Amino acid sequence: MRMPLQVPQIILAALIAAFWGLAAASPNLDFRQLAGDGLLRIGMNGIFVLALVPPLRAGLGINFGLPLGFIAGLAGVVTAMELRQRGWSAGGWPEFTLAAALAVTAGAALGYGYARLLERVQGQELMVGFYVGLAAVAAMSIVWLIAPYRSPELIYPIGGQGLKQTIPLEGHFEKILDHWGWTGWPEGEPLAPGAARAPAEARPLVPAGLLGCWLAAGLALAGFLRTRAGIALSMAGGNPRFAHIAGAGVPPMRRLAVVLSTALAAFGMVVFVQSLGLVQLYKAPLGNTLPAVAAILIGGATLKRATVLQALVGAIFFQLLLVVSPPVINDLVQRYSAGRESLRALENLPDILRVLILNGFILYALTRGGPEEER
Amino acid sequence: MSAGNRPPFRLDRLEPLLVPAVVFSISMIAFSFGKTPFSRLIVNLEQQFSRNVFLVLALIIPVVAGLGLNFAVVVGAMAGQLAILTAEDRGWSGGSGLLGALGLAVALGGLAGLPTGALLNRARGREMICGLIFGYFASGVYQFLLLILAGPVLPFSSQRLLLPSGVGLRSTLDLKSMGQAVPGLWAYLLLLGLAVLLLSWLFRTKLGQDWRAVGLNRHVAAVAGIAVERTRLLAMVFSTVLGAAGQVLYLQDFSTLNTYTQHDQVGFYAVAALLVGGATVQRATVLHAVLGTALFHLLILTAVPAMAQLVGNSQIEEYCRELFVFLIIGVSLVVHAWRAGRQST
Amino acid sequence: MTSPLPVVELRRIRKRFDQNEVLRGASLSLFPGEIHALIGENGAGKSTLMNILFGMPVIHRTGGYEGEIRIDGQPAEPRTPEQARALGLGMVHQEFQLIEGFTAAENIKLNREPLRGGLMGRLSSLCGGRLSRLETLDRRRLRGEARAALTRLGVEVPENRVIGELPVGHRQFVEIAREIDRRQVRALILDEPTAVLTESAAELLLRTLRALARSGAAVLLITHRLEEVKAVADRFTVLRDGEVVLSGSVAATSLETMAEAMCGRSLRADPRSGSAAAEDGAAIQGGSNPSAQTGRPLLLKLENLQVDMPGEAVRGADLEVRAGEILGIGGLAGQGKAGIAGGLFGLYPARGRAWLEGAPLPLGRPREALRRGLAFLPEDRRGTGLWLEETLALNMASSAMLVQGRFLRWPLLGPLSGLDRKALSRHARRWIEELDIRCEGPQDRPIRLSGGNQQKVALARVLALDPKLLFIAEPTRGIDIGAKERILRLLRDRNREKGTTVVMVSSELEELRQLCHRIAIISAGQVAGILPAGASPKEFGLLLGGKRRKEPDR
Repeated sequence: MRMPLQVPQIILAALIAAFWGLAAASPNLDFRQLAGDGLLRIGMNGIFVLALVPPLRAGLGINFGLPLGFIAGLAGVVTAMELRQRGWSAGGWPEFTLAAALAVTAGAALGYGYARLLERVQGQELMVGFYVGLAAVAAMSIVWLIAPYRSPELIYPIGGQGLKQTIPLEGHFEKILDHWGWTGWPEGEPLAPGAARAPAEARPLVPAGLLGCWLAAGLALAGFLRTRAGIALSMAGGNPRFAHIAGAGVPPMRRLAVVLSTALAAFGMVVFVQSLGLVQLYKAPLGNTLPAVAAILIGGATLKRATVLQALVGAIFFQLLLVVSPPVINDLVQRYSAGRESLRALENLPDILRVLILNGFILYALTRGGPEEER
Repeated sequence: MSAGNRPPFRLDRLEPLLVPAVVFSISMIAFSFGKTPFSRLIVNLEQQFSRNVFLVLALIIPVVAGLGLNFAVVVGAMAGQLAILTAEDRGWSGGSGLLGALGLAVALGGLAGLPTGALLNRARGREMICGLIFGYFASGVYQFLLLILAGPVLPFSSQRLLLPSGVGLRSTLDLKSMGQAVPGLWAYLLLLGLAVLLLSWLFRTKLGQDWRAVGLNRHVAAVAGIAVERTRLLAMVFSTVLGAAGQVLYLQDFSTLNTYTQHDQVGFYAVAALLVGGATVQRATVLHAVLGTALFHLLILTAVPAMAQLVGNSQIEEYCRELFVFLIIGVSLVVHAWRAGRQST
Repeated sequence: MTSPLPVVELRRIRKRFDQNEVLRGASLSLFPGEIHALIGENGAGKSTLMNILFGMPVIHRTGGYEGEIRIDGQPAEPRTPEQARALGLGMVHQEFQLIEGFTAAENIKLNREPLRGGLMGRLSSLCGGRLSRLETLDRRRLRGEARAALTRLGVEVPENRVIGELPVGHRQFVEIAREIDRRQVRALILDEPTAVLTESAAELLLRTLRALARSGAAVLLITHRLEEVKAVADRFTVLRDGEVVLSGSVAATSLETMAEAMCGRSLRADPRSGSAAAEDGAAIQGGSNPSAQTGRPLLLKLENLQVDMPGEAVRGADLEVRAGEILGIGGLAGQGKAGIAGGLFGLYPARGRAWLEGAPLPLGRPREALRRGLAFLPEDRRGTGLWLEETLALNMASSAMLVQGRFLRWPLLGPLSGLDRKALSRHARRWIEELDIRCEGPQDRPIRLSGGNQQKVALARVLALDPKLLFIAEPTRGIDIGAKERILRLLRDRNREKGTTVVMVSSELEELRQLCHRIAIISAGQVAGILPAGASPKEFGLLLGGKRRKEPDR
């Protein structure tokens, strides 16, 4: 696995290093807290980035249809919660496992249908995927409103129908993975002097279980790519004509890639939700696609090549940037604005920067690598 | 493909009517189920049509020039918002104010169209997805302009527009001086007539012929000596200019501006409207745009409430509307890709 | 010859692509009012010669040419097609350069549309012509001028119809009309203009060319159809291996002489000395009629095979392959010889029926074909035959691993079994040694190797399968002589020692005659005939350039 280090990546790395340097130097910022947040966000979003690897390797390009997996994941979570409420499942690990199993099954099923659609639209996979994602989220929103969930935790109090916009996971499997194997906050551990905020709850800074899960998913994917099926899949993307005559079976491998991607995205959503402690329904899942895409591209992937390592590194890079830039910029503004109201506007800068970097990387990837075959 | 057995093309000719006919029938069925009175439907439809039709017209040129559905029309919309904000800030009003705002929109739209076209020239075969993402990217630039530069750098001075700190614009604005600047139906029809005339004239020029040539077969066009990239760039500039003017006309009628989000959905809705008129990724005419705008809003005004009524949950309206839009675009793309695939093999 | 000054004169043109010298001092002159036929097999250098004359960018990207071009006696060096057109040359390419959605008239006047001027025209000239693209088209004049050009050709083509709705023959006329519509066109070059036409359309076209020549234009007709040359041309030039081997007056030369010149004098020598055919040919060739072979069981039978390969369509080929033979498939470019194996292995959509060892074989299912003992080495070595960016070891083992489950660590896991990298390396090292592949070892990548070594790697992949029947297309194209001989010898040894049946597609007739027992010649998408390797050059020449498709266009 080669890591192509290119100019955009180098610039970004320098930017990230500068931000973290500033964060470490600032007296107002709790570096440990920030680092912990960064690790948490990496673990939460990392699996989404991994989900993009199989379609990229199979030659289908960026899977903009990830929301399909996200809604499968959400459906798994709320269904598991409903079943728990009805007494069909115990809380905690059994409930989490049930949610994950339902999510992966639903994701694989949706992914298969989506793969069959993509087979028919060769050359337009990106656009069609994008709209499949949007349409699926809109359609699922209607389903959330009319689906027969009954648990009072889940639905709007008035009318007796329709899932709530946000559903807290408290008492279900909130943070079950994050704090896996953790036994308690060490007594008397001093926090950094002058911390901006004390932790809302006592929890370890390193979400070992979450990160372990992310890395395990990455390892499993990397392992799969070295099997016979995995090699056939990469061959279908690396050189489809060669794959065809060599006997790799290109269409089944592409289908497999999409199914894997959607199922991984669904599983990733279950992990994301347990870490967030909230289930966010309706349009919320749309917001997770483009950051994942940007992350893998930042990791050095192109429309034609992607490795698990790039997905891992990309997730780290991108989340490190996202986590550190708002507090650092706000801190700088606060310290140097000296009461000048007008400089407060700069607090919007991190958000703008995020939009520009995220979409900038996607555009960069889309416009390089030469023209798509036109005929 | 050889000439021997082409499909009988009488059916081909009828095919473009299929989509409008189906949409019209659905709307009529939905209307007969719904509770909206006919008079109100007509009033609403007239309003939606007059607001939106210019933005839909802006999409025609890129389709003809082979750039597909121009989701980057949001870039034009943002240029239009900048123009109308400037006009509002200066307190321009009435007919002359509108003309000033339109003039400014044309200039800003032309400026914004250049990078858009240049980018899409680098994205051969992936123009649509690039245009879409570029819309998001441009949104970041637009936020930078209006949140951080407006005030100290960009000359906005009205307290009504600026945030109390004097930097950045408020996120919701009433367009007090620019609101309802078109002085009546006659003026509005005049504007529509002018836009239609402008487009049909453009398509009769050498440039219009080159757009068609490049759109149909850029390879042959290049061999014949047509400057393909420049021609495509000009198509994007014209489209962006029209989009900017269209957004000015939309906003003056709407009279309220969500400064940072107003443009978000413009591309999706305009594209869906064009497609409902029977246009495809490769073919679009003025008629498609006008017919499509009317039919699309007819569908939204009738079918969405009818669905909500059917389900008995009025909350689904918003999602229903979106679902319609995304399905219309998605299905069109699938059909386009499917046809292209069949032709190439 | 007491003729006037030639319009075009090519003098001792030389051109090489990398190591490959494709033109070795070819000369040709074209006089006003004549139809001159340029004849040659594929690879003879016809296209390159024309690309040089027409200033195609590919020539200058690859280092230009040597020699001299004179137009009307003046030295000229067209560097772009536009410059060539300005010099008065017109070219009709084999692939139509037409816009399907435009009318015939719009195509004829493409990018030379008459403009109306008017107000915009005046405004434009005030701005130094910068606004000229905003002038409106004069559609009446456009139609009129297009019609005039078509009338000059003497054909009735509805100039207002969309090209996509016109029959192929008409499209060709539109293409020619566009070339002659430009005022100064005095020499028209046509590249295989009748290849896509039905018989009647082709005749009409040839008549038109005659009329055009009579009106004073010079016509250069690139073709391999000798009857056509006989029927229409005044003079001819035969190109072979980049050299002019024969030229003269058509009336004074027999068809047979031209055929012989085209296929080469080397064919006259008995190619069978030292060849497989010489040694066991008698056992295979059951007498004078090579298709009536007996004694060897039927291995593969193709019936009415049709393949939609662009530029190499197969239109109903029937073929029988006998176990243990080496069958050659030859034919000129564009006739469909390349499409047969591509269709069988599903690289292109195919219809028809096939049987392997008596059992039906579905088309386009390479996994099944591979499992049943077929293997295919495609002609597009870099694009299809190899995975350039992957290791040699994986390239060589890929098919055996995917289809036969070899080189796997835990084969019981099925698709999830891991790769046995050691076995892979061992396997690769064995082939590297056996085929003498110059590389840095099993972990090297094909993209770094020379053409000949790449071909050996590709060959190792199919041989690793130990196939019953090996389809191999253009195995020696673009590789050096040493590798060429090695590969041919390897195929012969495999055939002799292991009894592997080989079907070899090649555009080099010479090579086929050296190696094969029988040679099938493909023409117009069908098997025109099967000849024993020892048949005379004349027989091959007539099969290659003779048969014309009788049925109308699809």
